[in-house]
Amino acid sequence: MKRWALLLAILLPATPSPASERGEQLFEANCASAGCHGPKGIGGQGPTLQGRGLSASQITDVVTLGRPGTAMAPFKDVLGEENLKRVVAYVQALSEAPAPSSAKLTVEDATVANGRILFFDTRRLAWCSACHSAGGRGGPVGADLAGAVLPPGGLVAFNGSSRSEAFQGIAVTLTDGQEFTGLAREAGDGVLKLLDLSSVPPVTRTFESAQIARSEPLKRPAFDHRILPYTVSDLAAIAAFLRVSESGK
Amino acid sequence: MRAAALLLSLLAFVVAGSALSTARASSRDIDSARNWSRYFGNDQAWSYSALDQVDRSTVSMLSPVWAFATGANGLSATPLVEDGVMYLIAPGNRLFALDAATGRQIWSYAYPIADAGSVSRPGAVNGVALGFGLVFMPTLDNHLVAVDARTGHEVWDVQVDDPLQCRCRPSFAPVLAGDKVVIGATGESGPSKFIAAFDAKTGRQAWRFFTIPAPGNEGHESWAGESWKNAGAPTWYVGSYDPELNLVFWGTGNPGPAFHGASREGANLYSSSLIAIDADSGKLRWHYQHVPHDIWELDSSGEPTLIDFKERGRRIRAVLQGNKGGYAHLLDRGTGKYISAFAYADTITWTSGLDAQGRPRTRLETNLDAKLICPSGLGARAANRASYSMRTRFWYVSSLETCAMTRAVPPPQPGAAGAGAAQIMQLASNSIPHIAAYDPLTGKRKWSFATRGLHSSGLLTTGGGLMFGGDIFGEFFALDDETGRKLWSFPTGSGIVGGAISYAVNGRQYIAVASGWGDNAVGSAPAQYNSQFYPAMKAATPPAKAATLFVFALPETSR
Repeated sequence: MKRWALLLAILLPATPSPASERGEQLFEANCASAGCHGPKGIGGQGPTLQGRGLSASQITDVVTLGRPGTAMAPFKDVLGEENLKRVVAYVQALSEAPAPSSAKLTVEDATVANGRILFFDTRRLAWCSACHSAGGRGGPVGADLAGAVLPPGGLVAFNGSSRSEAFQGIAVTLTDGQEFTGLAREAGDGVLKLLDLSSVPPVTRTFESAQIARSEPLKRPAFDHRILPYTVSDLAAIAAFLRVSESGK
Repeated sequence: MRAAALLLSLLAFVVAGSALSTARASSRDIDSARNWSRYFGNDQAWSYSALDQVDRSTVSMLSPVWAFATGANGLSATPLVEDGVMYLIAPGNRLFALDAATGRQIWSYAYPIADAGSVSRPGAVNGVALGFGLVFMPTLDNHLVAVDARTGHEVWDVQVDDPLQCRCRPSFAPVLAGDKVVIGATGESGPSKFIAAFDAKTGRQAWRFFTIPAPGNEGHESWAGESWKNAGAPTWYVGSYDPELNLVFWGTGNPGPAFHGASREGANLYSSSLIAIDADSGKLRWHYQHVPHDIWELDSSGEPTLIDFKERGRRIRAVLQGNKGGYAHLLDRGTGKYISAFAYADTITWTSGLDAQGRPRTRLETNLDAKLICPSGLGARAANRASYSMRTRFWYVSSLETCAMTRAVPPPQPGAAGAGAAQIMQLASNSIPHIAAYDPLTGKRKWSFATRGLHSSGLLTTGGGLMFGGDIFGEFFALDDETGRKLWSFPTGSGIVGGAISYAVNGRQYIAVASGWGDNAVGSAPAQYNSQFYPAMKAATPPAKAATLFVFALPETSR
């Protein structure tokens, strides 16, 4: 059986190009999507595949069997033997291509990269993306901040400036005495969906109307941004990231 | 023919009835052991049921009483049962409540994914948690949802993390710890993984413990340079809980890149470790790192099994855990102090043994030339749970007995995701895949049972003197828990990669197991190697795809 694997490794690079076109289609459908390896294997949630110098047998192993303990699932049954070979050939071609140049990486300069990390950093007591989105990712609670031009030190000053109805907070009191600040999301069929903003990340909670004793508009902002655990230089980096981020919605 | 079979089963009944009438549990005992409301059956992660209606004499009459097809492709979930209702999670974020005695569907819930781009597929979450009248269900897009156990209506929904940013998602069941639901995350690269606790009633985050300490925190010095930023250290399996100590125990996975240790000099805390977290504060109480600076993908992901024993009249509260490297460690669970360790894999080459503190004797250095390493990165075992029987006080565990020619490959740039290795898998030359029973205090092996193929299902032991397991070809079987002799089996028709459970409804004991080879099957990775390892088995490989839960019981007349 080992000899068979070796034979496969020798044969695969010679696979004719129509197969590799099909390989690309299969790759885009199964591997690039879902945020895993990205278009042309540039990487995403999963590793980049460009310029990795992987052998066909290495690729075959991983595609066939997956990697236990990671999101990489076995694709043997999904693709079937023929298509699996095509994907392997395509990935090997990607893998032989030059590594993504560092020039491309510097497009997102160090400050922006740091800002992105901070924006999504769940280590923080409250992290931006728990509520806000940018670059098509993040929470639906606050405003989409993609492309926002903000004065670096001025993020905190935005506290309470959201007066649009979409973000009008409400003070909720439940019949069991619980009280919290929320945002109304949707109502229907005798149930009400509320975003509970009393902790981060916000929780979408569903109530029957009978469970809610009282709800009234808040006179203060729904979330006090002054508690944000970011330094001024953190905020400058986040502002830099937001400025270049695009709305993915 | 049928008359003869009937006569035989009647005879078996008479024999069983006379021999065991005294050993049978009273109906009150049956009632107290009726539920399987935790992923591993109890907080201590034993995967043991005290039910003994099905025992070594009656097991020959064990027959299917109902089955439930989820309609999906692959089923590796462990269902939960509480007060006669079964909760089963299926691929595609679907949850079913079933009458546990008949299989009738009570309700179903489907979690809609608004953001399909964030979902890694194929994939599945393999379990849920129960408590406070709620079912806690992790989703493929990394949310945790609470559903009313009575109605199937959603009660709360929180995003645990952004799957693209954290390069993570849940893969197994959360753990109920007091009034909190605790959940782990996959992903051996990208930002530090964590276990996160949410208030069971409201969904509000209580705490989040990161497995890689940030700068300024103790343990951070165990990472060279910036290597801590992309090393993952996942918490992809399921933990356990000690209400008395109020500690949550969780195993952590290997650091990334898995094999290229030169990218991350240092001990790399808290990867490949067992961690004990205060359930109220989320603070680390203690840790024990099985493999400092792991370079062989030796996750300490196995369930932490809480066992008590007496030593010179003193009660020892211990935790037993099997690392993928093939050793099982016994620690004091109040302090993390090392007690003892034993090998549960036959072929181990990555270290020459363990030192007096249970740490590997061999110095682990990045290995750029191909070298035969056993166990391979598949581990001696991974997701398939072991079982601890309160009846025998033995620990039952499988070992895959694989090796790999392994060579570390430097990552293309610092922080790039990937294993950093080339591996060619093979079977160990002097040992075979098996299930074995051990006395966990002495490490003495009681028996060994050769498995067909690489064993991928979780194990169950019962008060009836039985150990249940299933193989990837679909055979569900019962062994004598004292001898390892096979007493019964049933062909389910598709690979078994979940784990069996036992429960009772109205005084009748049931055994349930998921059968379902397919895209979403956990454990299918090791099993895929069967056609390579065992040419004779190729005709049967891969097993037929399916997704069916089978439930067995003794015939009504025989109880």
